[in-house]
Amino acid sequence: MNVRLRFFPSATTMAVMRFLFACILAVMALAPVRAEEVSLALPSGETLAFSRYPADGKELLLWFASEHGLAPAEVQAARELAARGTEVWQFDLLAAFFLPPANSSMDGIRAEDVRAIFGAARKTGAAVVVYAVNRAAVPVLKGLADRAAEHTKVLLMHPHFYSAVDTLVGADYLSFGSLSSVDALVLQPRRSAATPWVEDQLAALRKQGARAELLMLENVREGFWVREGATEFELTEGERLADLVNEWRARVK
Amino acid sequence: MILRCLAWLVLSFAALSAQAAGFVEMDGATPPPLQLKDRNGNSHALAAYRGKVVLVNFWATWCPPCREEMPSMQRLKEKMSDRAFVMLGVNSGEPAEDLAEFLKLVKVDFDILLDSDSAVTRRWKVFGLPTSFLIDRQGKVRYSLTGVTEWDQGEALALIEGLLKQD
Repeated sequence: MNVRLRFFPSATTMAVMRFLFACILAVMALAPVRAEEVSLALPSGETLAFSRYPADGKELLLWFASEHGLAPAEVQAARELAARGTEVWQFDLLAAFFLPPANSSMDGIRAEDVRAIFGAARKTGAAVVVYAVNRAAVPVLKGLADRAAEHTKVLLMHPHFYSAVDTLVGADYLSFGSLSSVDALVLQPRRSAATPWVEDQLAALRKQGARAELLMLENVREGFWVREGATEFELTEGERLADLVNEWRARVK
Repeated sequence: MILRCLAWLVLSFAALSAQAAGFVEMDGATPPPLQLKDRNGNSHALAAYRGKVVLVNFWATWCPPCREEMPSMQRLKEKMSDRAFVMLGVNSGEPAEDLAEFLKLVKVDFDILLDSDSAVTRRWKVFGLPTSFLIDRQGKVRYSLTGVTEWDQGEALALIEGLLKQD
């Protein structure tokens, strides 16, 4: 006798299965993207270790931490961006090279080493956007200078590229060479001692050939994602850093 | 690798230690003009205080070190109430409403001037907050300080007392 077993799930069972399936999808979507530790051989002979947050999308964000290193909110933002389809390579150059957290350390990073990073990024074929925080603007702009054929979109978070600052006298800005391939969006927290000088920074970038625009970030201070004693608004903004980076990236022409 | 890590930690600590600020002796130059209104609408010109020692302090309500030194500035003001000494707090780049909210919480009664558009901050080439200047009786800049101090004691008080003794 042939016995054919058939399973006809009830409506309730189907609802439960659909719910479980939805939960699995939600967990998969929310699961943090794991960082891969990657090493890149540089022209200087050094090997640069960095974190890669892989994604299937066609966009690659190169994230250069400030001289103060990477904050947990920045790592989390990289994970979230990758989960949404933007691959992120996150660099803490000073930690990677065992350099002290000082402007001079950032200034000492070789342009050809940074160019090697950009070269490796371009080889992926993805659309590359660079995000640099504070003094990390210096190695990034050095690496992008005099590369007329390599158009690059750059987000500069409260960039700091003074060469000298003298109270009552004035400030000088570093010269990088031709920045004609650079489209920069300067992100300036309003609550910063640098705010009165941001137009001078823009002028310094434009003088070197960059197309530089300003986005004033209202009601926040520099490093709002990592500050002790952050205001409620700064905490909220810090928690949605990935969203903000996405918004800023869309603004770069 | 361990040695490199240790060296990095030592260098990092050294770099952080080196950030402590101190007073810088200036060459006695004439400061840029400073004429601003206080929160009551009264105009203050630095030039009007010739003959007195003046502390000009650039600050902002969102700046923790600026807030940190406010109580010592208030104590200094009280300590110097019968001396030829004036304090001008220049609030940099903030709307008057933010300042008013702050002053509901922090009670100070020295003159606070509004530089809402940062024009004076730029003219004085102030790149960090707080930045302070000690002006002598002749109206010349004698010391500057970028960073925080206890104004009613130690080096700060000694410098002010020194300027008060001069003609």
